Amino acid sequence: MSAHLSTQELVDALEGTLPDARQAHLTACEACSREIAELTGVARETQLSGEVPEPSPLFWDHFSARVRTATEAEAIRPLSWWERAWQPIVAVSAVAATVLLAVLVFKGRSPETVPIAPASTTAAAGQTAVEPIDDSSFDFVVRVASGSTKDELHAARPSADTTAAMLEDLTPEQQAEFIRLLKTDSINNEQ
Amino acid sequence: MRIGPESALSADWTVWDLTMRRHEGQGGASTRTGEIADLTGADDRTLVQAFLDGRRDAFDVIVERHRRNVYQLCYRFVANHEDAADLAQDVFVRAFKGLRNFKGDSSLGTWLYRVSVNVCLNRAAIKRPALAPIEAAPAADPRAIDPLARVVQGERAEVVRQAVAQLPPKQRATVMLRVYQELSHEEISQILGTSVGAVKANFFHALGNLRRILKSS
Repeated sequence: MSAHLSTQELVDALEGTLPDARQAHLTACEACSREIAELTGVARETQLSGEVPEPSPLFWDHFSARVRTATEAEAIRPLSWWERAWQPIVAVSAVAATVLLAVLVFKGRSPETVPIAPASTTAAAGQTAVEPIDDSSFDFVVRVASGSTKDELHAARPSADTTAAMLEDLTPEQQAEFIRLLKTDSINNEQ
Repeated sequence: MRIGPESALSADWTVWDLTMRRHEGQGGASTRTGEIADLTGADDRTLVQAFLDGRRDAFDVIVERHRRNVYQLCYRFVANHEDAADLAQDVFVRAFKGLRNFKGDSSLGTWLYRVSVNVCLNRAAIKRPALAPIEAAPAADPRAIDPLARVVQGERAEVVRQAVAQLPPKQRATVMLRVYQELSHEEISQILGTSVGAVKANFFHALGNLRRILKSS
């Protein structure tokens, strides 16, 4: 005879979701059958004891009014622009980090597929060799690594409205500093 | 045993109600009743978003939609109407304060159950449920066919409720969510923050403990 049902299998059997393969054991095993019969009795008796008396119909309106009164003093703090902007930024950053990790892992596992440029060549060019990434497989890795659908990834991008709102909320000094940083970054990239 | 909840817990999250309208800026023209009427048919996700946009009336609809489930769960923890109503109110006040933290990973109903279990277990740690003595079990319905059987049934139900109240907190919560609220193991795992396997193990041990307690009583 096969092994007795495990704890989880006993619960599955109780709820009628035990796989057929294990059902055969249950049919043949007196100990497991007795256990299931007893637990079923306890579960049924427990279910019967759980009746909740229905409150008066007036209670529900009264209850809603109580909750409203109790929360009236509480202010609703709507999500600020930076919280709305921050969530997609965090999501996109997390996806980017995951993708980067996945790419590094892939490269680490199959070194023969990565052509290693001679050090002198790379140094002479002053650049690092970058492997071209196939778009469809890249998208696939992004989706698998992030556990998100394509639509979810698309929705996670900050919208143009969000960016505009972010800029509008900046003071003139902050805007000037922002533009200066962009210019600095742009110059650094060109170099 | 039926598996899978109905009503509010099966709210359709894929539908985004684009008809939601803002009432800010309309001065006193929009009444509270009018605002509720606009959101009554909205799905839970829309309600949460409307609330986070500052619409207090959205929370009224959330309360109206989920108050019965929350109250019933609270009642099962404390076994009396007054305490259950207080606890349910506490649940919604906490939900009001914490709705910003609701990520939408589970349904709003599941999230509210999670808040409810936390509130009820915290209360239970302070105050034991005020269970009626067995002799004070509900009186028999005079119209019942077999009054004696009904009395016996009522007394037995009280014994079982007392047995459930003696279970360790997580086992107790598991029994209530599985047997009484009829949630799936997956939903219970989200509410209790454990794995499905742990939920099944808790459920099994809870039933085993109930069997032991009931045999000795």
